[in-house]
Amino acid sequence: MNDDELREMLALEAVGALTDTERAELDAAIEARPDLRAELDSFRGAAAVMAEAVSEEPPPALRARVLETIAATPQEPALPSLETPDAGPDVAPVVPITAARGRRHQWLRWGGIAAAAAAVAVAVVVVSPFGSDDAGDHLAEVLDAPDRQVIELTGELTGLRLVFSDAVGATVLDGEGVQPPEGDDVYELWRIADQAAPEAMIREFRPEDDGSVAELMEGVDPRDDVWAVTQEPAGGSDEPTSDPIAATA
Amino acid sequence: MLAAPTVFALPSGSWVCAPWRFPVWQIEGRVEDDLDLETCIGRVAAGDQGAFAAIYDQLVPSVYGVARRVLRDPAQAEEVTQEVFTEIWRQATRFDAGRGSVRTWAVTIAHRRAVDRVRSEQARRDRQARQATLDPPADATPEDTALDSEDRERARAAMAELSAAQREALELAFYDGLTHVQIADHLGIALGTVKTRIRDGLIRLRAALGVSQ
Repeated sequence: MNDDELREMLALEAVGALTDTERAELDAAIEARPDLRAELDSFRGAAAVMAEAVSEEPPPALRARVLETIAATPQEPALPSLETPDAGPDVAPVVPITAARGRRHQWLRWGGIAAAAAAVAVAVVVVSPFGSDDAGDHLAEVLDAPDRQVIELTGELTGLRLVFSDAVGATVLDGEGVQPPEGDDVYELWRIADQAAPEAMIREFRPEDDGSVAELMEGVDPRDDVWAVTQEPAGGSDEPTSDPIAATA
Repeated sequence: MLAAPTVFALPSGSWVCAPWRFPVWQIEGRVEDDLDLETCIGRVAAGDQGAFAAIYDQLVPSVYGVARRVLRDPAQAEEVTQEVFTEIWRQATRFDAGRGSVRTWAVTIAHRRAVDRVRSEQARRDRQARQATLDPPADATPEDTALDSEDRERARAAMAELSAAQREALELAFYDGLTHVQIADHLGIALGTVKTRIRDGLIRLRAALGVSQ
């Protein structure tokens, strides 16, 4: 994108008129451009006037509810002066899940994982698909398990689903005909425990050339949480820098 | 001796974060208002719930108003408002005044969340049918809530400086949550025209407001 195109996109972003994919592209493009970032901020200031033009008092009872909520909500620690990669302060902070590479067959109790996003680093066994017979077997076991269940991810990016089996104790991110990300970008899978809690990055992946995806996640129970996929720059991100392009309901 | 500015109707916010203020703030309302909010957010970052309440009082009409306008549903607008203020509380420590005012920050979060909701809702329903069933705009003049109508009037005056075409494109984006491609489809105009109208419209709004940064 040349500068003129970027500037047009900045205005679109300021009024929310970009798709999530375009936003991700824009974010990446202006990451090292403080001038363009400042222009985006300035456009946002102008756009905020449109909110004021429709300002309206909410029901009075909301005030007490909000004050009660924040009184029980911890604040984020201040950041060192390092800039966050994303444009907005509107990005929820993220607790990355530590991937324990190379450890296989570790069994994590399903119950413990549900609470993981809240605080703890959890070891999720990372096995590259078909990287070994064991992994391949487990993949097939989940996909063929009689008790397997499926959760679809929907959004701009189609073709992804989570298949899991209690009997095997693992989940597979399974995909068919999945559009590859642009350039060297990657997709990342996040677990979101609830709207207010931080996301946890679970897996970075790219579809195979034929658009298939097969990522084994041992010891992961996908139920009860929302799962989302974002597109991230090459090398991946520790926290999402764009909105989900696919998510569970 | 300074006269207290009691002859002016104070906005609903308790001005806990400014030690005192001249009556002149009524004239330069926006600037003074935002300075006060910046003082407040610093205190919120230190855990001051009173300062947070002041920020809430100042910003909730804009936050709720934009959520309501985008989502149309009051219950969902309330949910988004609650999420936005919880976010402001949590992230106050990371607010960067170099990036813009507290008001812009809050409105940006609110708008993003409201649009995300609208889009995921729409995606969940029939994507194709969306264009055909684009809702008519919600009542553009919700019952006047007396407070803060001065800010609102100033904002509306700024929007009145837009050309009809610019205003239309900006409203479809900002109030209806449409993407630029959807706007082009909806209006039957070229994508480039949509981009130009939105960009020129924002530049004109910015000029009308004297938003300098």
